[in-house]
Amino acid sequence: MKKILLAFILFCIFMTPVRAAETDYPPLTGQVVDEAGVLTPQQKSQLLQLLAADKNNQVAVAVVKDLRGRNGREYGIELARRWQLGQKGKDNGVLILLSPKDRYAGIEVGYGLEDILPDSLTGRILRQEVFPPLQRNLDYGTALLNGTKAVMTVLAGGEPGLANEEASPLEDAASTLLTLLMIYLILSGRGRFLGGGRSFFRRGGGGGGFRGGGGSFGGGGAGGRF
Amino acid sequence: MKILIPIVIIAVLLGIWGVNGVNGLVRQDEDVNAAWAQVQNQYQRRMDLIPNLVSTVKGYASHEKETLQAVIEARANATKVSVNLDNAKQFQEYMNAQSGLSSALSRLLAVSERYPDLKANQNFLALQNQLEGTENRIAVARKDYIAVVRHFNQQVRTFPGVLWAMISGLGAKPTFDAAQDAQKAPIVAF
Repeated sequence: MKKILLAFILFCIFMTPVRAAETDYPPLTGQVVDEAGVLTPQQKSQLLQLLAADKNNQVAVAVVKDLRGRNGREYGIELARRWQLGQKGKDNGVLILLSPKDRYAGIEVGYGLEDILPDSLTGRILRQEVFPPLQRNLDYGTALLNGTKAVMTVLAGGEPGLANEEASPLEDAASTLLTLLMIYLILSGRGRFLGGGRSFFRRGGGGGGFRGGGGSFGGGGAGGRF
Repeated sequence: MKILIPIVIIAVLLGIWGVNGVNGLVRQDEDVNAAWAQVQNQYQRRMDLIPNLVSTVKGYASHEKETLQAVIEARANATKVSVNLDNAKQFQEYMNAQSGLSSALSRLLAVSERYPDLKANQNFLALQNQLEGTENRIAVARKDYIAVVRHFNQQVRTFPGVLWAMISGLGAKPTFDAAQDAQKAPIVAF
């Protein structure tokens, strides 16, 4: 009897199709996922503030511990698809990916945003905003903040203000104040409508305040080594 | 009379099973065609970028005539080939033409490295980004196609899919071999 049982178990084991080793992905714990742990809490909250300004598109920032031996663009699109960034049908997700260990940074753009964020523009954002701080002194926080700011500006319909723009300190202060005011308004507004609100980003007490909406990606964006 | 009822029930059940099976296979066939259309789209997108790229490079590196000519010819070649998914030979020709274009293009980009003025040109940088983006889209579309076709071919070649395939007249689709698929999207240094 035991032999039969053993044979049966062995049979089952052999018949189970061998699954290819699956690449692992960090879970989508929020709009900013810092798996590598390189961001200060302050930088993280600054990023979250920038991202919170856009309630239509789903933009996420990921700092991964490594690319799991994959090519950066490949891992980027798989992660974006896994997280299902963007709304279904609108496909309006963006993933800003950084892997300090692989010295890789890239931006993956969902189908629906490829016209607003064409490859040439994401390439320019990387070249002019993201890569310089990385190449200068591996300043991950500044790189991500600059890149996110540029992406959010484009998504908001503005000019990314790359290269040929130099804001005066006064303008900077004014825009910071304005941003803070807007964030305050948005946050207080959200607080009031919380509960019955149809807010896209489910704000929860527990973990996982951010969920993908089922958007799809087809390989738009740019990325490279720094 | 008593024996007739179970026979009718079984016949009806078999009929439902068959219709479901055939419909399922036809739906999968549609998925394969959609994935293939995406692959072709992205290859077309790459071909559309080439005239602009060639004229930009020409402005800075006019004595790279041979490399430029090779790209133009490879593009013309690729434009000529039309493909029907049920014809494995055409599929192979199409893929060969496209990979000829890939290698001509990568030679052109390698040559461009020698011209600092060209590399600093905004138009060229933008084109390069677009080209890389398109290569990446091609890689993604190919991978998606491979996944869909693998599933479809598995169905068509195993029981009961074989039956549905015979009824609907659908057959296994050509796909890329593993070696071809190993070519990855290019990663550039900024």
